[in-house]
Amino acid sequence: MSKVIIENGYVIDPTNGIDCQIMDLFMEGGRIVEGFKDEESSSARVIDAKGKLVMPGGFDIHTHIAGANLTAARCMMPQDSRLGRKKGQHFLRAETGITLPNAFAIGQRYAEMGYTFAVQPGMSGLQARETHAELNDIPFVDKVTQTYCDKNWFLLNYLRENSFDRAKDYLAWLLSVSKSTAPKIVNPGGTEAWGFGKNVMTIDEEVPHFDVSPREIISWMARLTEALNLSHSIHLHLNGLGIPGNYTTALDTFKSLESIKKSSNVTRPQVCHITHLQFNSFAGETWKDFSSGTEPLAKYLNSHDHLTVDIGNVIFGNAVTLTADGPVEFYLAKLSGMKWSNNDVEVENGSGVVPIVYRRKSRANAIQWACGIELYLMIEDPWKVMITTDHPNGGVFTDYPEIMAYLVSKAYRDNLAAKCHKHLEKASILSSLDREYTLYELAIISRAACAKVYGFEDRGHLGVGAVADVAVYDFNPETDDPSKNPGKMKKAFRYAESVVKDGNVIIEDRKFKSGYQGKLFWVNRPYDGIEKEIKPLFKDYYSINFDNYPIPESCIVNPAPLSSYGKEI
Amino acid sequence: MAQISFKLREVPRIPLEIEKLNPVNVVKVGESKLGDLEVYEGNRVKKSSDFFDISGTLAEEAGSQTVIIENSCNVLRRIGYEMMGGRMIVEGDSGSQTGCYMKKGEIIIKGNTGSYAGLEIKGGKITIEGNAGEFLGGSYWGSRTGMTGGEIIVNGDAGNETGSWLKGGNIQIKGTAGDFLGFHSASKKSYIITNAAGLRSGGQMTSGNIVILDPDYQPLPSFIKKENVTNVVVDEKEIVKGEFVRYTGDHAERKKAIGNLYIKV
Repeated sequence: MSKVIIENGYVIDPTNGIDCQIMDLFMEGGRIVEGFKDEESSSARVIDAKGKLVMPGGFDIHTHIAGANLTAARCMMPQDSRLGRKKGQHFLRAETGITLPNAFAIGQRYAEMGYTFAVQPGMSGLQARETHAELNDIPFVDKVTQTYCDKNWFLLNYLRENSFDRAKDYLAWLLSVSKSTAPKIVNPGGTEAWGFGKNVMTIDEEVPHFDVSPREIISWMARLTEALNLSHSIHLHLNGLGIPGNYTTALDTFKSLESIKKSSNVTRPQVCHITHLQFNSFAGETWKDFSSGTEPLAKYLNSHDHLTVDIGNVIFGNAVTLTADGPVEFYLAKLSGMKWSNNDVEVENGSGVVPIVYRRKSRANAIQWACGIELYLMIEDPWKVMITTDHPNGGVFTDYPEIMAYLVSKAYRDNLAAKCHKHLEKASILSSLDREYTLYELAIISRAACAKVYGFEDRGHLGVGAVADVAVYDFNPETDDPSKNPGKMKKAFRYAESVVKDGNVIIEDRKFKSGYQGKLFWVNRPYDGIEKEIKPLFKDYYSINFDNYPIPESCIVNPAPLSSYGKEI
Repeated sequence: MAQISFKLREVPRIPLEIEKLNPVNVVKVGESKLGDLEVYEGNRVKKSSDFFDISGTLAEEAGSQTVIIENSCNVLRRIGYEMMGGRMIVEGDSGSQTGCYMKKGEIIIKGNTGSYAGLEIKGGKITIEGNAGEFLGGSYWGSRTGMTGGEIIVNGDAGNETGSWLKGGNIQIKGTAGDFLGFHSASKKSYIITNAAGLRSGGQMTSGNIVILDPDYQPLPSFIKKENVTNVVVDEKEIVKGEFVRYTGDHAERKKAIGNLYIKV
């Protein structure tokens, strides 16, 4: 297999404690190797990274890139597809869309940014076929997907009956047949209550019919996940999203997870990954006194180690909210007057889509923007924090370098804050925060931590044996200061100089050199007997036949089953 | 005025998109290259000389250039699309997307035009001597911003959803407009005048001025009747003479909507 050398670059590899060290990287057979013998070096492809940064490929831990929600959103925002158009050529396919890029644009733009892994955060089992068909069309990046579990009637019933072993078997079956990796939980109990036109306002309020509370659902799912030794933990979208004063619900949820015992067979640090925390970090009681509630959340996260978070920043401009949080989408539609679509999936899920515009002069939007940044600055350990916009809910993934600019340069973010609504100063603490992230810390929150949290031991770093997913960025840490030149850093991270994926050079000198199709990882867990039990229930409750529900590997491009330890089988 | 004429030889078998045949391009490429100007036949890039006979004289600069499309028909699309200056005369009908996103200049269509004429224009003037299709001077589907400037005049009728999401500019229809005229408009200084209109004119408007010269017109129930006015004045200019009843709306969209709907007495 072909050999690649990236030489003379400033390597940043936080997992292995390497910070801007000039070193050469050797790749063979899709992995990083110790080196080549002299006679072999001449046949290697050499990329000169002199004066440039070399990092592991980017890892997006939460990004909506496929599925029924996206289809609905695209139907509702046809005006977006006339933007961002680019003709296809050679191995690159045509691109359309900015806020809602098409599948080809998603893969190609991630590759341009040096990202090599993306997590599609949620799909229902019944819509898995559609999600996978779309994921198949996304080139370059490796992908995983996660299955909604908190509204799943089977799991809710098992919880009500306290049948742990049968629930465990069912979950193993569900993840295997839907070809996903982890349970996704979204406003647990709330969207099920939405089926009755209701929501849950605290984690102890009970869900109609099943009479279980969000607290019980979360705990149940976490215990099942640990019992199955899943390489990623439960992935949680908190109750009370988007509502003034919701930071208290977040804190209650954090505390409720303290008692979960992590499996000893997993390498990840957390028992629960909290997603897009920015949307749950608000204080105040109404929209009039809405303000930042990030401080108590950061304080908690600084003194507890059982949780990790991704932020879900808001970026000013166009976005579209699409979540499985049915009631929140309805609430947002009423508040904003924008278009709204609502979706109910039998037995399994609900969701909503509302296009939105985040404005600097909107009091609420400005505070949301500030909250997102405050969280990074106040959480001390960057290994607990991951960079996302909950694409496309808070903003587009191609704007991650914009968030990075806020983090590395106080001047840059204060400058933008001054253009926001005049109440921002009083309603947030952003201006009082001086911390500026280093490039090393940026590498942690955009790649190293994410891979670890997802349970991969051979990704997110550049040690020998790691997957050869490498990005070179045109930014010189010795001569360029990110704090003083955030604009240059932004450009560098938006268009990587060179990108290597599984040891293949796909971008060099900012030009695509070849096409590539990444893998779709899924958890292959054994299950025993549960099919006999659920098949007859399928007949009663589903509108499709049991045999059509599982997604065969033949429907997936480059499927890659994972053992529970995050390793490819 | 210096005129360049593109005369269509025969009706094409599939629609052509001829946005490149405009005064700015014509002056830019010069006489010898006029035949090479790109024309799109479906997904194929062709040359203007493949379909048109070209004649005439060039002006010094685009602002003084007229381009005439002779033997035009409704299979010719995107005439004057993204036009930046000069004048275009269409002898015959024009197809869809005539004058979309126009910034400056003038287009005169001596026949009928298809849908989406004058979509989201920023300036300039479009005169349609025949009838216009749907979405005249409107917004791209899904977009929340329609016209932001410019003038559109139709001697005949216009189709549904004329002037949707109007943010600036004015529209005059001397015939009958379809349904949803000026739907969702939000522009205090703009006006739409029509001789007659279909259902739900001014639906979801928050500001703007719609004048309907048909005394039998029934406004939406979410419009509130105010006073009688003599002569309609918009942005300190008198735009039409006569006796009118003024309604405000659309109060179903916004309680304090300040759109004006004038119906002739």
